[in-house]
Amino acid sequence: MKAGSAVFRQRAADPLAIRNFIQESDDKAATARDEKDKPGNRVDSAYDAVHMMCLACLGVENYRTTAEQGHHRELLEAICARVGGGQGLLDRAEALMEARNRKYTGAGRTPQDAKDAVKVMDEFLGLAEAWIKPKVEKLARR
Amino acid sequence: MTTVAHLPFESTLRELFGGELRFRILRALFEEPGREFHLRGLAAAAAVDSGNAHRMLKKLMQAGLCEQVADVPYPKYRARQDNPLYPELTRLFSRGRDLINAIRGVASGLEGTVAIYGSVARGEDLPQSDVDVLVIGPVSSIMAQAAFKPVARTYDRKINANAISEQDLISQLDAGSAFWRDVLSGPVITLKGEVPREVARRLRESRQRSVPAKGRRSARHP
Repeated sequence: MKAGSAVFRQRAADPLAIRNFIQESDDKAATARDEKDKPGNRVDSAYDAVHMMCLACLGVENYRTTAEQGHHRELLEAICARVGGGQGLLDRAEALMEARNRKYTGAGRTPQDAKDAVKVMDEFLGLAEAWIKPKVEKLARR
Repeated sequence: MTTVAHLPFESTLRELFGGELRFRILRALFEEPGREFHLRGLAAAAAVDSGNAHRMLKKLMQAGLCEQVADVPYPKYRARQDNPLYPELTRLFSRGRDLINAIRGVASGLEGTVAIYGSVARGEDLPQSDVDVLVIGPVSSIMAQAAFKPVARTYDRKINANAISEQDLISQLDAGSAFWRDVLSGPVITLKGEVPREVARRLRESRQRSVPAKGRRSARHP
């Protein structure tokens, strides 16, 4: 996490909040994978699933985000590095975030966008879930 | 789509160098280090008329920015490499071209037609402007956007890639999408391929549909 960043604040890990974030991420991931849903909804849900998992990962590290401008991007960058995603995955995850924001331009999202959104989401969640699982178990034993 | 020869940072450089004519001549001279031009060749490269190019060259020679090189039957002109500012000017004028070339490098790896549109293609971009890239092909905006990220980092410019398949683009135009009609109607810098014929045809139809009928127009503005 960037030194002096206004995006992150320390907070003791809250096991219930972390479980809720993970559950929310699972629900959004299921919506994203639903091929009957509209491409725009699937792209939005894929990004939400990633974002919720980032919040869970941040939580187990005893941090939370503020609503400071750019908090989505900084959070993604921090968690991608934390779970060992590398620059390539960060580029794809940021592109997913930008695809979610594209709805405000009127460009719309295509079925191919939805397909690749799920691909990026699965790649990210695979790493993040493997990283967070032992930490959540440890928290539960406290 | 109208193909143009603008480059990023043009509006900034035009302002910095005091006008369109001076900027165009300087860009032609400094963009490719060591290149020599006959007067007509320089005028064509700068897209100005020969008379104006000649007048500007005289001023630039007096300022020590360019020099005449003897050639038969007419002399040639080139940037003066012994000018202490030569390396900086070359870097400054080639920066936009380098960015385009880097984007073209990524575009060559994508399937379909790739072009720059928006403020960069209009020659109106500011340092903080996004570089808008259109991809017509079987690739998602997500993967296209991710592919351009390394170039965006290198040049510290946000690249905004909008990708759409030919079939989806035709559907959007037929449905009356103003977004895609505007993107395709403005000037573009083509990086790879050509706009598919069917897309161009549907664009023409879409434009015709978007013009208000005469009767309605006169009723609104009697």
